[in-house]
Amino acid sequence: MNARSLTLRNVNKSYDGKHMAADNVSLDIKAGEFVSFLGPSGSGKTTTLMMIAGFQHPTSGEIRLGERAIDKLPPHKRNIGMVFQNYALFPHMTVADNVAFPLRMRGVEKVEKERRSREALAKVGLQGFEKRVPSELSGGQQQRVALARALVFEPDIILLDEPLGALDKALREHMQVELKRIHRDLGVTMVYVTHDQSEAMTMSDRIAVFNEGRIEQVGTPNEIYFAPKTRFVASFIGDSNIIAASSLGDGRYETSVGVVDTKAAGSDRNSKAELLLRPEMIRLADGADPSRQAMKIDSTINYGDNLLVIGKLGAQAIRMRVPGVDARRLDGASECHVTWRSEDVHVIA
Amino acid sequence: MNPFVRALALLIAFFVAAPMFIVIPMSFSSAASLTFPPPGYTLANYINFFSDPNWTEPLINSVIIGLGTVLVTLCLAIPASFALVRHIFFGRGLFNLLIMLPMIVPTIVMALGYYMYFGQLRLVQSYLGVVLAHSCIAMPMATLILTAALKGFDRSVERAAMNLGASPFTTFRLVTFPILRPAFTVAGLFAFIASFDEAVIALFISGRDRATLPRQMFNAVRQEADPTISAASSFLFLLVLAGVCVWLAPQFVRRRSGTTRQPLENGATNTAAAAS
Amino acid sequence: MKQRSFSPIAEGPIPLMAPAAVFLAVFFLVPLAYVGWMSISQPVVGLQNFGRLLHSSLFASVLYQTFRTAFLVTALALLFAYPLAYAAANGSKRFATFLLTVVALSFWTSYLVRTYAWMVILGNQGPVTALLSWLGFDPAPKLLFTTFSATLAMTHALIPFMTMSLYSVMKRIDPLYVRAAESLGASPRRAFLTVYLPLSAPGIVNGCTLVFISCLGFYVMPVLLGSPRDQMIAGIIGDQIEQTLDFGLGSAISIVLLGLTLAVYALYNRFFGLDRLWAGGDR
Repeated sequence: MNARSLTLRNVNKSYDGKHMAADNVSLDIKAGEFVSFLGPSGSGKTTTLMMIAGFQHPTSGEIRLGERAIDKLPPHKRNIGMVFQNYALFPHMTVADNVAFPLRMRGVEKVEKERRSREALAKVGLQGFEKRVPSELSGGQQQRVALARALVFEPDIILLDEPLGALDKALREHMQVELKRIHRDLGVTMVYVTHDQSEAMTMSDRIAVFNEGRIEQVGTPNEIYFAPKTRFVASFIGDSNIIAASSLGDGRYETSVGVVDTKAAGSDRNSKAELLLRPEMIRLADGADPSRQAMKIDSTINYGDNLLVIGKLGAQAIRMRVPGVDARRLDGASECHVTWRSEDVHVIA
Repeated sequence: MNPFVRALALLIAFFVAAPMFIVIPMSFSSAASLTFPPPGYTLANYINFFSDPNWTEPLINSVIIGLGTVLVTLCLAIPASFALVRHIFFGRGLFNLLIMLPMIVPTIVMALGYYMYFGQLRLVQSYLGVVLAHSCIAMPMATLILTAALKGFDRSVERAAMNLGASPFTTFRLVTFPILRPAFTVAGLFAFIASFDEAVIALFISGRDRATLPRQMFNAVRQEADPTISAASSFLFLLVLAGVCVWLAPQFVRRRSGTTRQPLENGATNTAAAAS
Repeated sequence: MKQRSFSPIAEGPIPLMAPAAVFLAVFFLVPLAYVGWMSISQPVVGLQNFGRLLHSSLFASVLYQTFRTAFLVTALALLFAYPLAYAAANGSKRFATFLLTVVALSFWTSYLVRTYAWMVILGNQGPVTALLSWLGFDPAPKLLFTTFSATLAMTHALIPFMTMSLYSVMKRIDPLYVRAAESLGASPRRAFLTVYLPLSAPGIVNGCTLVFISCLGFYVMPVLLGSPRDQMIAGIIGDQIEQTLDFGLGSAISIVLLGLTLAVYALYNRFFGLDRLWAGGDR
């Protein structure tokens, strides 16, 4: 499959001239990459996807597939594979006819068409399902037929619009693994829209985090998780403690939990910042640790493999995650001592 | 449910259904008058109904006019319903009202209007005049059926088709139309029946040469002269009975066979099954 | 998700709506307007036709007869249809299917077939007269060509309409409401009166409106089965067309009928909005 790169350059979309559904969206997706569009509903991720597919027109901006500008092309000429949220299988056609449809549109002749359809169905694990009708299939099976249909004509890029939303947890996780496998095997560029951050984290090469029509950050899952660039990204992904701070220079900050050292570069004295400290990076300190601080415990929630401790460091509300094995040390305690490493504190610009 | 209510409902159902069944034995009656029970039995009425031009011509006329009405109504109502459901435009409410108007205006008023107006245009006593009038009458119901179907139509299959390379017209031909075909058929059926059963307008403007079956029946009842009316009534009633049975049949078949194909819920198991 | 409008045949709604709009304008609105025009221009321009109607005691009695019959038929149809619809909405699937089949059968039977059936049933040599004679009524009263026969036939013909209006609303009434009322202390009768009946009210209103309006303009059955002395309004319009050929007067009467019909719709629209009438409680 000839994977292509996808470039979005200053794409804007507004329905009424005031509210921006997509606000100056720019993004470079490399050929063969798996990129997720992640964000809450209304953040612009689906709108952007629809503009790539051609079902919405950008108000301004440019969209390129490989070298080709596609934003003026109608959807049926873009040669983009797409998996819709509710699968959109043709109810009046068999599975085989569904999968063969794009080949039919491209004038592929009968024998070749049947061969490729069968191959596509085999790739998604549905060989033998050719004669079935969509209404006879379960959600997971319909999902895979939709995928086969999007793959069979070897598109340059595949768009997926929250394809796993309607499936139950076990099936969803299974399908996530399947999708990644197909991505690896075919090397096709994939753009995946989701509001589920764990999904984005596990599947993507890179994640574009959307908020109110804008991309707040694009990065690998690790970059997004450990080095978020905005408060929104920090709090949207994973659990977080965000602490208001004022710079003392040299990576030291004055906060309501005292002076905090970070490994960040120095910034101007007294400039304001926010510090991110993930709950799992705070740990129980033993008695001898000089950096330890007293934490008052308000409540705990037991997740089995970890214990969420909700409390305060001084006046600052703090959440801490203690590994299950250590949780017993806190049985009934109303107070504990905690510490963290300075390299785990991230300064949000 | 209260057994008294059940019994009451049964009683009322009997009252609703029973009177019409009387036309069946009457159609075999040998008497010229409306004597019940019939004094003797004969097939003469049916033979007459299917051979006397006084009856066969109106029957044929009704079928021709009915088919014409279906054609005109669908050609107008299908695009109109697309406009109403898929587009937002100035005057949409008014347009909707216009289409519903024939259901609001009493038929006798329209009959008078057509009599005078079509009279001027020399459209009375012709197929065309009746078809035009009946198309107006059939339009509201046909549009209601079509818009209901369109509203429930999931447009993502159209988007999928386009995404897969189908032009807008091909999409309509291969995806939209086949999926909507049942609704088109039902709308057409309603239009046909509305025209076939329509008595008042046909009475006044179809004329003697192009008389419709309802017109012929109306005159026969009024003059009480021709017992063939019994065969005509029975014929029509049996058609309705047959239609209702045909509609019911699939439900009985389903119940007899017991199971409908159950979709398998566990996709993982199925992969294993399919892969093995 | 709202997309830009997509039409496979043409962009924009105009080519789609134009054929129907033009057709209806030419073949529906114009004849209607023609009736209006004739009412004030035949034999001479002016309102004299309406004047005649205003002063005609005959017309007044026709109007009275029409309204009286319409109210009666509506009330009777409601009385018959309510238990039917209730049983269909709340009964077992088999019972409901049976009842709805009967209703469908009646709904699709043409008015003329029914008229013929009633002529047999209520005629001098029919079963009802025979029954009355046997019960001792001598001579048996005349049943046909009376207001009674017309009312009976119309009621019978309109029960399906009423039933369907009621049924479509009743189907959506969650049985849990009545159960909740009973669990709170209401007897079945009170639960029905205070909970179910009010919830079925939209269906009642819809059904009564549809049936009442149908009665106002009813032609076939009153003319064929009713009394020539107590005509309804549609019948006398027909007389103008067929017998007296007074198109001015006929048009004026038509305008009055149209006005009355529109008034009922307007009244309904004022309180409920016309869309609900055709959606059948489908909101």
